Amino acid sequence: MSLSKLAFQNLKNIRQNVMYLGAVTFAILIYYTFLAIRSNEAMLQANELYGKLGTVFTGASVILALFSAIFIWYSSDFFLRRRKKEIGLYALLGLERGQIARLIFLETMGYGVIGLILGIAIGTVASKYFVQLLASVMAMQVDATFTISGASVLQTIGVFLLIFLIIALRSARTIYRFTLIELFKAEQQAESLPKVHPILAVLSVVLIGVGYYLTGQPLMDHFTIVAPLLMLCVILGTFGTMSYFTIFLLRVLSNQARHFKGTNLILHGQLLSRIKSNAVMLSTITVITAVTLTTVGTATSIYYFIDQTVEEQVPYSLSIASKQSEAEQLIAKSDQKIDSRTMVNVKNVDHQMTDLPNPLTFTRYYATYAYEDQPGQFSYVNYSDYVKLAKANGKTVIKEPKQGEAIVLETFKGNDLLKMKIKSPVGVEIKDVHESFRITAATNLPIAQLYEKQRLAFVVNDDTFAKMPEKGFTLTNYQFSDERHDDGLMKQLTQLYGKQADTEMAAYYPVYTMTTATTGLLAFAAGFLGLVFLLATGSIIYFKMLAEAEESKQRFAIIQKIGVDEKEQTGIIRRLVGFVFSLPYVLGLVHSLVAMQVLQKLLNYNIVRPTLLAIVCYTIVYLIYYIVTVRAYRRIVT
Amino acid sequence: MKAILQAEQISKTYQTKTARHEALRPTTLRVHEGEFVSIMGPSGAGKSTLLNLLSTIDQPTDGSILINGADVTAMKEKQLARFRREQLGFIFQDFNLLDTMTVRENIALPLSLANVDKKMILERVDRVARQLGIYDLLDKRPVELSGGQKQRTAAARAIIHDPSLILADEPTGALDSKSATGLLEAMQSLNNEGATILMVTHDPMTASYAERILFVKDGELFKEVHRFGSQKEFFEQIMEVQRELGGAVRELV
Repeated sequence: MSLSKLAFQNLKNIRQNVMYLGAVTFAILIYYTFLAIRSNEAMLQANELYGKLGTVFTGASVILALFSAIFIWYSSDFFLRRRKKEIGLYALLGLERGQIARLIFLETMGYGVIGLILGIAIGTVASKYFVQLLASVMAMQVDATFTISGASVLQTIGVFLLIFLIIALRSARTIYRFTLIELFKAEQQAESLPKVHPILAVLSVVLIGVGYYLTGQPLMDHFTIVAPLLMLCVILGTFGTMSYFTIFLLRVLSNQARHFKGTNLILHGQLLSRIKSNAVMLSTITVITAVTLTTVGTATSIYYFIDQTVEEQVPYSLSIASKQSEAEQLIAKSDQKIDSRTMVNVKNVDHQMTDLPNPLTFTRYYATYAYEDQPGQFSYVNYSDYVKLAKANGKTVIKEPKQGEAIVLETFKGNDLLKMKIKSPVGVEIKDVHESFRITAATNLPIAQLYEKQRLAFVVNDDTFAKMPEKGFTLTNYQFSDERHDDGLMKQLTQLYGKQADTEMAAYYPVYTMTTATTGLLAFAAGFLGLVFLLATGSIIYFKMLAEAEESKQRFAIIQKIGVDEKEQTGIIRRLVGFVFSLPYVLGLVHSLVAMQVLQKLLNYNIVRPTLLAIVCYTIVYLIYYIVTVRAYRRIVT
Repeated sequence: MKAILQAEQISKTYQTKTARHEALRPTTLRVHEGEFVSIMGPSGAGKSTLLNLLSTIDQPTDGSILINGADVTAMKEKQLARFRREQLGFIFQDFNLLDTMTVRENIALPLSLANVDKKMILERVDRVARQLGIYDLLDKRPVELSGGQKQRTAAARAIIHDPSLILADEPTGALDSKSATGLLEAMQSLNNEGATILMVTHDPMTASYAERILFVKDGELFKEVHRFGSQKEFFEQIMEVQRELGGAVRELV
């Protein structure tokens, strides 16, 4: 039998490696799909923005390729170890090392080719549905067609063949390093009992705690220092926890009376004997789990709150600062109806401040204040207009400020001044080029949506407003009957304003479509990346546990002879596998929940529901992996 | 005296599509309470088959086995597992200790499985370990022990739960002669304190520690020898039977 025939024969023994092949195929499938979607004609035509956002997929596919490489590298290592005896047998039967190396090389490449064929085949058929799914999350109307993208096929084949080639070469090289005696040595003896380092154990947990504590600190102030420090603390803490704290925990458990109950003795012994060699894997998986859950949770949350985000960014269907009658003529000709119209007079006054008085500083991230030495501007509104607007927006009306007093308005919805747990700005003096005002109240009220950077405005009494020397102008805000729909009105309005379209008008529709498309795309990419990560982590634990099962065959044979029945053995396996699965899951979940809590602060929404949705989906797939692993483990040892 | 083990006309036949192999012809044997019985025979004679049947690891094709009055041939797998761990104690040639656990934990395992209280478990482990001279090794792990120490640990595990019958399969097979003697003396003293032991071996020296020897040949009981005089005399007796056995083989050739 020729080598390639033998390799082919081995490939057919696919049942054992179906999880591996599945994960590899899925990674290739998603990689190919990302490439195919990026170059999809229908999508490119439907949305010009989409072309630019293709970079999201380019980035995602690079991450995917890197991650796949690591995953394939890791699994091939596992396969080699598992087949040590088989390889030894070949050597004993007289196969030369070079031949065995070639055999392993051919097999690895064989899996690569099968994965590629399956991945691209499924990808081609499925890409239509992927495009449809993407279009629907981006709120686009696209007729997806069945297409084979030659360039994408070539790139996928190229990238993954290269990955497999490198790994196959490495596997073949490893064969040269094994000596015959090593190949035949009995199953690995249990590792020596791991030492307990209580100080390191506690320190690791403390490190994670410090990381968590840092997330509660005002991040924005020193983001570039705090963020990496925080990550470092959490990652180091995670590795420490998995290496030291788990041992500590198991040893504490071994001193309890429960240790001598039923099969606990066997379970604890098995766990302790493996914990040292599993620590790095468990930590890595914890970090990947945390990253995946956070990414997917964030993407889901942002996508979930698109409507609210856009509503806060652009509260009105349209705001204009000039050409009111022409604009209204255009609206009348379109199929939009004006549901409501509010007008407000505004005067912009220069101020010399380079820094805002303390309680207002939080808004500086919105660049309200002056840049460096240049004077900034504050907008002023008179009290009558304020009352009109407040009533139109269903707000309680604050009483009129006296001479020398002002109400501060946050001009966009969203981060409500009063909701923020900061010192109230009431009582603070603000000063522009003419006079100074003492703030008597703070609230938020959208006076328009035109000046993206000016998040603050001040309400003064009508008298004071009239006396201000600056030239006033009128802002008009409209609510349309159907602001998520456009029959060409936006284009006409943009033409009407020409060069001033950016400063004189601001509409809901373009922001809405743009935001939906962007976040939809991100959610889509994050979702599939997350899925690949999840499958890969699941497979890694699966392989690791199966390797452990192979080594534990003897132990299970012993306990069976002693009289541990099948049910009890299954119980041991369940708890054994459960421990390894739940450790990184629980810690990763806690990490991501802490991270998402920061997100919640930034978004200022209640993200419980979308986050929960992401976590539930993740958990279901993870549970399936757990069940499959328990079954496979049982099959090996009984 | 009460019969702990009662095997009536047990046989084992392996049937494949093309061949029929009679590993054990119908055999009847009894082991009484407090006895130390050895089963001897050349390899392939059916000792292992017999031991596997008696230790409930394998099912006989025919016949019945009563251990301490319970019919083990009528039990289901789950009952059998429970029965094994409560009524039987095993000593294997390759020790079969769990390398992931300490000596103390290995010995404690049968009691732990029976959900005995921790304090009681530790007391009994200490007592048995002293009895077998491995008290100082309790916190070590099997990898740190010599063969003899491992087998004493296995013996301790086999008797910790006061089984009605201890089954030993070539217990000295992996030991040097000094360790073997030590172990066999230990087993003898366990027997003197009331343990019932059934041991399978092919080594006459090992067998000479028993009180009674059953010789197996070609799948059936060939001869039974009782010990009357000293161990040395018994050994000579065994050698004689072996010669007889060997001769029988030669006659066939």
